[in-house]
Amino acid sequence: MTLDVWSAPHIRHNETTRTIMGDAVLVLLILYAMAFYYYGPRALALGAWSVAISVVTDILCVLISGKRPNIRDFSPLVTGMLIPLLMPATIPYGAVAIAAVVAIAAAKHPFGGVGHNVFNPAAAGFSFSAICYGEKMFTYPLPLQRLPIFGAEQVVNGISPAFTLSLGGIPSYALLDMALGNFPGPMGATNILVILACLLYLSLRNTVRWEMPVSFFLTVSVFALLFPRTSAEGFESVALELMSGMLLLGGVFMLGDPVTTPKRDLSKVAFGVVSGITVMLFRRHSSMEESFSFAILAMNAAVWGFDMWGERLYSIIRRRKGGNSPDKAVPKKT
Amino acid sequence: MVGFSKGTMLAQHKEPAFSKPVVRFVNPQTDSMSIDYPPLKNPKGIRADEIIDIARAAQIVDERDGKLLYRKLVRARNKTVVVVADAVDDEPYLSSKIAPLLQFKEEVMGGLRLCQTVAGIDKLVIMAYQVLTGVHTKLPKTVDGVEVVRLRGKYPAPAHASKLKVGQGRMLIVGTGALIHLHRAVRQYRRQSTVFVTVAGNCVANPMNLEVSLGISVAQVLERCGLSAAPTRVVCGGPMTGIAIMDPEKPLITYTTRAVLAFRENELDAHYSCIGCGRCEQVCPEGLNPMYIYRFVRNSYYAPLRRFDAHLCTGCGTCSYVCPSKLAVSAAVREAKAYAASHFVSSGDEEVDDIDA
Amino acid sequence: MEIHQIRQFRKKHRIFNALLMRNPVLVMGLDLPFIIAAATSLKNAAAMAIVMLMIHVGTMLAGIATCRKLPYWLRMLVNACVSTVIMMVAQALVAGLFKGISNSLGMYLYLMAVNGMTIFQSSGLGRKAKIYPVVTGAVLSTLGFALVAAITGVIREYMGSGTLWGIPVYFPVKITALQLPFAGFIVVGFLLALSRLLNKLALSRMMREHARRNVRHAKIYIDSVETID
Repeated sequence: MTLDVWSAPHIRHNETTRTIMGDAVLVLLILYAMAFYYYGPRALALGAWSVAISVVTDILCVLISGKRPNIRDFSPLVTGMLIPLLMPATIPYGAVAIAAVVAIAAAKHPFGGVGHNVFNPAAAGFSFSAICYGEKMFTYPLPLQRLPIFGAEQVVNGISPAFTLSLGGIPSYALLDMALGNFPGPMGATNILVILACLLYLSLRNTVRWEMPVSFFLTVSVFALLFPRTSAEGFESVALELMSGMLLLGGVFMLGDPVTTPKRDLSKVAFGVVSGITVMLFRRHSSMEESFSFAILAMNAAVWGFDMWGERLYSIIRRRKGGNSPDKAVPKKT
Repeated sequence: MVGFSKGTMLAQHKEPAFSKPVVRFVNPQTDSMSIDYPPLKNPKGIRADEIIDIARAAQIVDERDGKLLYRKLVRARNKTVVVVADAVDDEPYLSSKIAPLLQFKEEVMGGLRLCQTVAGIDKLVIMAYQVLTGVHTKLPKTVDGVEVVRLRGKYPAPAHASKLKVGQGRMLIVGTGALIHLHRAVRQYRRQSTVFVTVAGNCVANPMNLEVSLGISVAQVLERCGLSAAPTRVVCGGPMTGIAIMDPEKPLITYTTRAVLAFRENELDAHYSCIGCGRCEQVCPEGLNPMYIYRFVRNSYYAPLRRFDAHLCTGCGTCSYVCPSKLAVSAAVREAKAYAASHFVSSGDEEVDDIDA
Repeated sequence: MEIHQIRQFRKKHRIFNALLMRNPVLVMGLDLPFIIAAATSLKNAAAMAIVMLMIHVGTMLAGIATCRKLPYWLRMLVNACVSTVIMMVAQALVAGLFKGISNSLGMYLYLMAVNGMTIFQSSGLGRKAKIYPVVTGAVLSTLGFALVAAITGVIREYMGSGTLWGIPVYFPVKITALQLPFAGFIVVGFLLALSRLLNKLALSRMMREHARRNVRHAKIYIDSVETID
């Protein structure tokens, strides 16, 4: 009998790309359930619309690059689900469509496609849409209204804490309300406790490495402690900064994205710290009330530098360790 | 975070071969060849140089690394601190070093004592991998008064062996098969003509450990144990580091064959691309970055490889094991290692103070 | 396809190369700022094309004289002075034709005096340059530039504000970010990819034509076959 030739190793772990991305999709579905609870079926309609456009654009781009579309690849699904969660629930469908098309066709595939993209597609799409739509992107409706699926004009809008903080005031929502998500803000970013639970789940499943969001949130907290934007002091300032805007959601999904962030442990910690400082500085000095996605895009461009410096550091450690243990080599035998 | 005790836990699948007795599958013409050496004057008080001469005449090869045993013994005469019997089988399905230890205890201990005589010291140790899952036989704590050090932890295990705190000096590490053959050579004047091989896999009908004569073909070994299904992959060696062979009729059992595995998988050959998850870099025991090395090698961009230290790769295969896209990462890193060996002249930064070097 | 046949094809199509295969913007990378920052509507593109035509043809004609007489380092200075004078005339003409064009084009209207295509091509002419090929080349280069500017202008105006030449035309969304330069980079990037595709198709078509014309067809004579019983 003649058999095919394979290369070692001949046994493989049973985790596939499907399980990794399936975890992210599952967690986003939970966030959509919360958005449905607060904003009605329009949230689900926006999500479905965004997913449809993302998947179609992705298939077209893959065909243009000459590859075969892979059904098991859930990455456009994740991007498509993440984009509406960053926007208010009353956003017109056109904004979501523009964001999805730009995210997939201009920020993901020209840079190499799945696994090779430099910029976070959801952040890029959201930023483009924010520039197009300006103020509409940041007018959030009050939660617990049943919004109609089409034509959302007659809704009551509320002022989001991010806006209040950017002006220097203190938002008037109780902290417990904010933790549960009962305040105006981006559709998926208000459910603080749910997002923290998602972070725990994803780190346990190793889809998101814990070093990155934790170092980022710690840096943001320290910065908020030392340089509060409002007259609130101490713990209240930290809590307000963390819970306003899309900081928590972006910290979990955009900073935890393994493709667009550094790979080494120490590089991840350094990246988290520097992103925390960058995001807080952007928040202080930008004219938009939420500039997290722009800060993330700026940091994504610097990832290669972090990785190379991490490699140099680890190279020194490796070579110093490499000569010490006498029984290092695994004898490769037949 | 910075420490490199990484690696991954593997399901061991060592039963039923582990607890079955080791069966002989020998070629009767080569089985009882004897060595050409004058009879010993004083068998009880045998001297070191006599042991070395007998080992050379019997042409014993240590299955651990393919080196002639007498050369290792010659080097072991100075500055050896401990003699270690290597019964570590950290790859799944394999038990070709631990099973002969459990079955031929006296012969292994006899060989170990002979090595002790050559090295001239007292400290003896047996190393074994603490098998975690589903094995019916327990590992003993001591064998004939010699302590069995159990290595716990993830694959690859030899990274943990350096934890044996032995102080200054060298370790003499010999595999259990070579010890058995050394004992037989000295006490019965037999030449080494067999090796211990594990035959396993999901389409082998009777997985077991065999004592096989050298020179028997892999197909005959598989036939001896029976195939319950047509295999899609036949591997000589362990499942993580072994070599897949195209035609089982051609390769023969050699001194360093540890196992013959036959697998049947129903997976389709899907071509995924790297998704940039970074799991390969999280588990590399040497602290390398297989993701970037894979990408550079695939694009034939060899210039940055000097910084990535591909020459430190030990070929354990853990990176490929955890890759969710099932890419041949380990093969790419080994290719980079070969490139580095031929193109980057190393500045001699690897000083391994070991008998086996 | 051998090299001299490629050269023959190139010579035959050299005149029209400026449009596609050696397009000054998409293939040679000249004059990109005007496309990225200023070509935000069709009117802007048309105005730029008119100004560019006058400046480019005029400066190339002057370049014939300067390249014969002057040393290299002086040529660029003289050509730039000539093109500035032409620009002053051209912008007055264009300001009369289009209303408010200097507002929408901003400084890029005046920067045309020193645009890369003109300076680069007018200073590099040889000593034996003749008038007819130089003028034809200049006109076609400008046509290439105008083509890219027009395409970009149409895309950005139509999808960006739903108008064409100021007349409202229906488009479902208004992607106003397209008017900004960063979106210009993205649009030009996609146009570059498209032009590479078209170049590849044109080259493959040339090769196929060559193969069809020049490969000698072998004539096969089949003798009658005797059957063996």
